[in-house]
Amino acid sequence: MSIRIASVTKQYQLGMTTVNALRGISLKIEQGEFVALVGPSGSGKSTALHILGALDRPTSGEVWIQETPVTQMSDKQLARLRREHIGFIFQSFHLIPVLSVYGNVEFPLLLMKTPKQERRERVMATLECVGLADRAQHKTEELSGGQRQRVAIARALVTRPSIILSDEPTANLDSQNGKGIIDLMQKLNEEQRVTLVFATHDASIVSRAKRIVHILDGAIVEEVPASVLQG
Amino acid sequence: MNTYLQIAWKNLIRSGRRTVVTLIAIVVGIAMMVFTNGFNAGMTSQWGSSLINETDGHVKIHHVDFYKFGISDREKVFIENPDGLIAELRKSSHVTAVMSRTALAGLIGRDENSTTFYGAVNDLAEIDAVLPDHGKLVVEGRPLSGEDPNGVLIGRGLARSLAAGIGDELVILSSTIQGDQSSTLVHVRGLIRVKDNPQAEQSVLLGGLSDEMRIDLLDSGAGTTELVVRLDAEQNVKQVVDSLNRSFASQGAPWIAEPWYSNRELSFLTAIFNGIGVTVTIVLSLIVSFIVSNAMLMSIFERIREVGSIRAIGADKRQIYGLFYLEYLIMTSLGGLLGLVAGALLITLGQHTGISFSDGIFAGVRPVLEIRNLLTSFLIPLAVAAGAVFFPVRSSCRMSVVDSLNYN
Ligand SMILES: Nc1ncnc2c1ncn2[C@@H]1O[C@H](COP(=O)(O)OP(=O)(O)OP(=O)(O)O)[C@@H](O)[C@H]1O
Ligand SMILES: [Mg+2]
Repeated sequence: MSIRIASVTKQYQLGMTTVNALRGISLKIEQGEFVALVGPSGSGKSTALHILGALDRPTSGEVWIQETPVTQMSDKQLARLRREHIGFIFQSFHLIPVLSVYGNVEFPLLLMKTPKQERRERVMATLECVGLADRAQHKTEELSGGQRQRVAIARALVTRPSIILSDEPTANLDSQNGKGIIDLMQKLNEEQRVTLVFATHDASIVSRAKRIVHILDGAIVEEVPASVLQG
Repeated sequence: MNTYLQIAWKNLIRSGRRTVVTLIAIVVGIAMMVFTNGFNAGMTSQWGSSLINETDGHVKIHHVDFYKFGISDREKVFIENPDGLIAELRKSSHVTAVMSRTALAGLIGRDENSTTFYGAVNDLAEIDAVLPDHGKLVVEGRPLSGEDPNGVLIGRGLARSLAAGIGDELVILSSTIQGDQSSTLVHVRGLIRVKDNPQAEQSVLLGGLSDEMRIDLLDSGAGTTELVVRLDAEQNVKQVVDSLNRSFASQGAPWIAEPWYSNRELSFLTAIFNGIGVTVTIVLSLIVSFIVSNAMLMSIFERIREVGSIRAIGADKRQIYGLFYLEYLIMTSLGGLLGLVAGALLITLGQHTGISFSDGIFAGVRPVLEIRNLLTSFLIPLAVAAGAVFFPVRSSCRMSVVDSLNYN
């Protein structure tokens, strides 16, 4: 699945002042890409990521997901789009505290009304994939940060989205755990051709991405294909 | 367990203290509502049955101006030929018995004591059929009986001011229907009390419509001032009264049929008590729904970030509403059911012990349990709360997903 945004701006009104978080960015991401959005704090990475993932609406400009215009969609349609095609992974995990590991991963399938038997199979297969099958019945508060982030990855993956968007997924993890998460994501990208878009400061993610998009002060300043970096 | 239920249930457990306090509020509030309304219903029905079975019958028939002239000028409201009217009444299959009653007032004396009195004399051949519990009025001595046509019942206060006891002879000075002075002799058969009305006890007299009464005192022939009617069942009262009044109106007859529940004191007091019941229901509903919606409000605002993350992974608003309303439903149905059970237990207890606020109409009231009462006590506060819960859920859904994810 591809995502395309054109001349997207985002403004926040803070009292009398207007913050221009995005100042007209255009970007196309193809199925199977591994893209890192980089830039200093406050440059607009998260904002861009939210718009790419249909979590937020731009102030102006156009967004197409799989060549379908998103800006005209109702909240309900956007929710459905996220439910069926997009996975999110957040810096602070955002798991549902009262549910077990299993329950958290199952939840998106419940929203999609997947039948019970299929839910069980997919949840267990996904937990297997992130290496947490033996923790299925644990409470999430019994897990380490790295394990929690893997639960979040499993939750994002379980619906088999064609794109996963992730905002600083390693920022709350130590380097060891962070590396494990990146390895896992890279494997998904290579084996299952899951599109990955990261907003990150983490050099070890940046070094693995196939394409790097630099954002500065709400605008894209340069795009570097990985081949250039590696060369 | 279903995952949505699990989320709702575990969130309730997680905020245990708040949940318990809210549950207690629901239980106490609903139990109080059930009990108050049950007490009201019990009091009304108790009073109603004492009116029907002891004093007034189901229906009374008299002249339209009965209350104006019933004592001062009985000729104006006199029913000269009650037999015709009685025959007509008996045509209705619901009418089981009819009794003549004539209003009476004047002076009553014993030795050198005398005082004013008012009251009524009843057809003793019918009194047991029309007022099966008339004996309950008697606190000393024996009830009215056809075997002792000149034995009367007088109020305890009246007996005291006449220094009269059971068996003592009394002189009644009154007037005939036509207004001429008349007198007769009676004797005290029993003493009665009038519920919550000590003044009435000072002057009330009940007697039989004996030959002496008709001839010597009233000169009324076969006539009377009122007919007291008993029906086969209470639920037919309205229908019978309506059809009688329609037929009186079409014949141009001056009579009017009055149901037992038009009794002025009863309507006055039941209006007050219904008002109290409605006020209690409203106030308790507001308190309960305020506490419930406040607990829900806290639960929702604690979880704005969670709402954001659930929406980020694709829940739409309906599913968010579903999540919180499920929590609301679990809490209120649990609390509501416990409240109903507690209220029902209080009522059952009250039915065993009886509840007394006075020695009259509020003496030994047995509250009654009505389905309608349970339903309103359950549904009104919870419906108000459901409405109040709607707004915080809505505002949490109106926030943008990103704003709720970043909320703290
Ligand atoms: N809800 C908001 N209200 C007002 N201003 C906002 C809001 N969200 C973001 N901004 C502003 O928009 C700009 C871009 O923010 P954004 O979060 O996209 O930056 P970022 O590149 O993700 O930064 P970081 O690396 O610190 O996460 C910043 O100036 C920020 O202050
Ligand atoms: Mg950011």
